[in-house]
Amino acid sequence: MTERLTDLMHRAVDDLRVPPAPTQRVVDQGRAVRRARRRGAAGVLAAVVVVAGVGAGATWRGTSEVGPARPDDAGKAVQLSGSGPVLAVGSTVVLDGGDVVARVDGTVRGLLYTSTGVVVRYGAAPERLALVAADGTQRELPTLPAGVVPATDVDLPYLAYAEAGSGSTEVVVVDVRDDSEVARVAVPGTTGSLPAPPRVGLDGDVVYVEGGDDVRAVTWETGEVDQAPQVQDVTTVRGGRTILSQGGTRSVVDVGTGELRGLTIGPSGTLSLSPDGRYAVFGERLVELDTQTPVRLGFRGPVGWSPSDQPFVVDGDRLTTCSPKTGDCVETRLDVPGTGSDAVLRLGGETAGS
Amino acid sequence: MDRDGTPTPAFTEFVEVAWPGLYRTASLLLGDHQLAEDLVQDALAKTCVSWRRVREPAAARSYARTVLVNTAASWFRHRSWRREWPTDELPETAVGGDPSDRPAVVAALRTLPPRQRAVVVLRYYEDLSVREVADTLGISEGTVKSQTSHALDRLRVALGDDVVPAPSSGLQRSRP
Repeated sequence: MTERLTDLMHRAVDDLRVPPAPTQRVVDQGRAVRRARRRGAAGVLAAVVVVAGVGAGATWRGTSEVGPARPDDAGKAVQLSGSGPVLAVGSTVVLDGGDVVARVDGTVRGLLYTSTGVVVRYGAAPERLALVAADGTQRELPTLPAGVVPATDVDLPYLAYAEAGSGSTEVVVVDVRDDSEVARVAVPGTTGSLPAPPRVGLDGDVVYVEGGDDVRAVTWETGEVDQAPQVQDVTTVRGGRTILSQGGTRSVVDVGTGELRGLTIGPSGTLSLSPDGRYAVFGERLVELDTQTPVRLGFRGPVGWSPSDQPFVVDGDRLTTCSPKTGDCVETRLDVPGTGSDAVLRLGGETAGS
Repeated sequence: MDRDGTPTPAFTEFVEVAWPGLYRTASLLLGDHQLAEDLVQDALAKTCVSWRRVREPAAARSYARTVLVNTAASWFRHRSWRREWPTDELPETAVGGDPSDRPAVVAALRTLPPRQRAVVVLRYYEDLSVREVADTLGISEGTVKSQTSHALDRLRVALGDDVVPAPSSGLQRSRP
């Protein structure tokens, strides 16, 4: 019945004069998008925070009519000023290495970098979320279902999580700029009634989700679901790399091929990947993974990362921030008013599984 | 693209091979050659960024097509685009002239809302199954069927029964 329509459409375009493929322009544009994603991660916060909550009753807006993908959004991310460490003490969030202090209505449970600001997880039962943006505003985000732990990518304005769907787990991706749901993908072979929602990791256009005995890679732009045999801990995937434990050792490997990217260590101690996967830290050692260049840092201990990949530690009221290129470190004093010595410390960029 | 931003030879070869087909599909979706060129370039640039995750060359075209359709959808959502193309209005009469005329079918497609247009192009030009269209657009198979039905009703008005026969007068296309 539609053969004539098919024929007409083919005749309409099959003998079109097709212009030459602008291969170089495509490649240049691809590079620009990639560079913009990197730039979008540079710096997150630089001003006093203003509360402009939308209320706890807010909900994520529904998926738009045609499709989930907005892959160009990252490329249009506003270049932000300020790139220093982000940390939290109790309910106080310290931004840009101490230049800005913000407060939320509950103990901070996690700090997640996005290209448009820091998503702050705080409070309990139900946990709440706030987005602290580059222009100094703070906005409350819709509350997630109980037990759900979201994930972000420092290069993207998105937040991903998993929840029980009708018969299977569903991966959800939302845009934190306008609370819109940009993708919802059912993961075949998973159950929709787990005791707790599975953890996820977001890395570019892939959401890694725990699926019982294995890990699935969900390309959220297309809905494609694959196995991810190289991924053991979904929260450690960053910039196409992850931490793999094998035979009593741990290594940084490529998530697609399992190829060793360096820094193999023993079973004890903390191994941490930087937000975009360019660097790894173990003890006092930092390695630039692309070049295998080692640098010795002037500190040990739980490591946080600034949005621009600077490692940092906090010891009492001292914040030490280092250059990942040279290992040079700068120590500054943190003045966090209104916090007791027993307040919980959270570091931005921590590898959750470390 | 490698991690350092260098495009792989396989990707540049893919661009050369995929460009003509994607350009034709984009031309049907948009009805404008310059915009089609821009759309395909955008879609391939995004594919370039994700190239290291494309494991099978055979899947690359499908991936790029999905990105292309979703990028077009993003364009359609833009308000100024909607003003430029008031696609929700059904023409009162069939498009004048010979319905087999090439501009007529492109003009008829432009009368369809964006999702219906995408469904028609993917099903009847790209020859995808209902399931494949659903996967590409991220919608249910039921929605694909209903959108197809609505689209064919509109195209019948625009192009006539000879091109799009009424369901009762012919056999339904039964490809799943």
